[in-house]
Amino acid sequence: MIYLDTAATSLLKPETVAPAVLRAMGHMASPGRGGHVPAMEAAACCYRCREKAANLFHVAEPERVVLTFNATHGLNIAIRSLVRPGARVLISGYEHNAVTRPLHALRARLSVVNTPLYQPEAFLREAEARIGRADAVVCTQVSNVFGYILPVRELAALCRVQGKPLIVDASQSAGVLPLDFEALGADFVAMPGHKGLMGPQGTGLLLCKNDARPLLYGGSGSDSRAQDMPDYLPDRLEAGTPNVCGVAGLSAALDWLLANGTEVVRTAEWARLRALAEPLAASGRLRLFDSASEALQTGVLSVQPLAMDCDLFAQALAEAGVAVRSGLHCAPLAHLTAGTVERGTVRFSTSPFNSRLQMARAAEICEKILKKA
Amino acid sequence: MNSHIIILCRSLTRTQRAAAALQSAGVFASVTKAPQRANPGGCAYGVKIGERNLAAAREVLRRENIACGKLFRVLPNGALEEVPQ
Repeated sequence: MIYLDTAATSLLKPETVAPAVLRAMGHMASPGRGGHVPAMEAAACCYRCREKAANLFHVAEPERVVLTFNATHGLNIAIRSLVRPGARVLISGYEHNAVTRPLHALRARLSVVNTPLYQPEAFLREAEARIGRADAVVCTQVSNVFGYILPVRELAALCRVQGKPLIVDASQSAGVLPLDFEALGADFVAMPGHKGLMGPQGTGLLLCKNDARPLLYGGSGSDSRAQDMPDYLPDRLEAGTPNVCGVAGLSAALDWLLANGTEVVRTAEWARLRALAEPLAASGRLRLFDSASEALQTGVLSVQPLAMDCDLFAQALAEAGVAVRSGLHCAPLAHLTAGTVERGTVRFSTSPFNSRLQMARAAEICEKILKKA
Repeated sequence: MNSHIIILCRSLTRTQRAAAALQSAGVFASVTKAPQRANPGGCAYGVKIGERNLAAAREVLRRENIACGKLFRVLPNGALEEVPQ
């Protein structure tokens, strides 16, 4: 199989990840729930994971790295912390449902910066014009559909000048693009553990500048007599037993990223993307959403077959051993903005562990399927 | 068992950070479950150090800007006494 769905989940991971999960299953109990060896080993594992994440993302204190179950979990915490019901929220036109649905649930009044793909200057001009009327800003760093890199650093600077709180969805950028949390100055950055960080599913991180409102209430292993959640991080946001086995795997994946650097990932994914995009473009059978610029796009490419339904194309690819994702990718807003909401797209997303040969083979398979259509 | 010191911190993570800072500075330290009597608010953890390392530990935590709470001496008979700050 040629796995090209890393934007959904990184099936291809550093080889240390799975053994770390397995070891945790046999040796680790609940962190913060006892003083015995398996509990303390679990606690040490969670701490190491926080510490590594704090190093990778330049977070001043490991306490500000909250372990979540995915990016959606972290985004819900962040949004519930900063957005009051009915508040005015500025978002990009490329947000995932993980952002838009929690905002919808709060009846937030959205101001959508729906500027065209791969035009960061236009995005910033429009954001600057609207930000004064917003109570908060939520923005993805990279579109999960198109790999479009939004100018989040510049947006954060705008937020600082205007005194607006900022939540960044780093679901598609964490582990791929450099991220300096302290320099960025965002209030929250949410990310999954199972995409670019290459950890297991069911893991995520929320980087917090300040305090936050709990989303879940329950046992934290601390201040047990109080019925309020503890008023300090990370305990305040971590009710219930965490996914220790997943955290162990994520910690191993962070070791790999710290040793190799995100630049290695970025360079490899971009090279794989070019190796796929160029033959696909040459075939003339597809519409490609391709910026052809490494500054504007990660290793994610959306396409639409000119003479075939997107879902049927993806299904044919699956049957031929190529794993991609079709449809709206849980991001109808991004498709509305890009004008692809009626048909959706087929998304190819690369991993540093894909080979060049796999990309050439995937392009050949695409051509074979499309020729028949 | 010799007497030892438990430094309470406000969270397990803060306790782990304090222990890591002490270990990096060459002060033997471990994370331990704190006795209930030391923290009437409920479950808590603390950094366990030898009594002779108390001054060095305080200096390291001050230098690293890691705020911790009360200190307790655990006597060989298991009795607990608060150490004045």
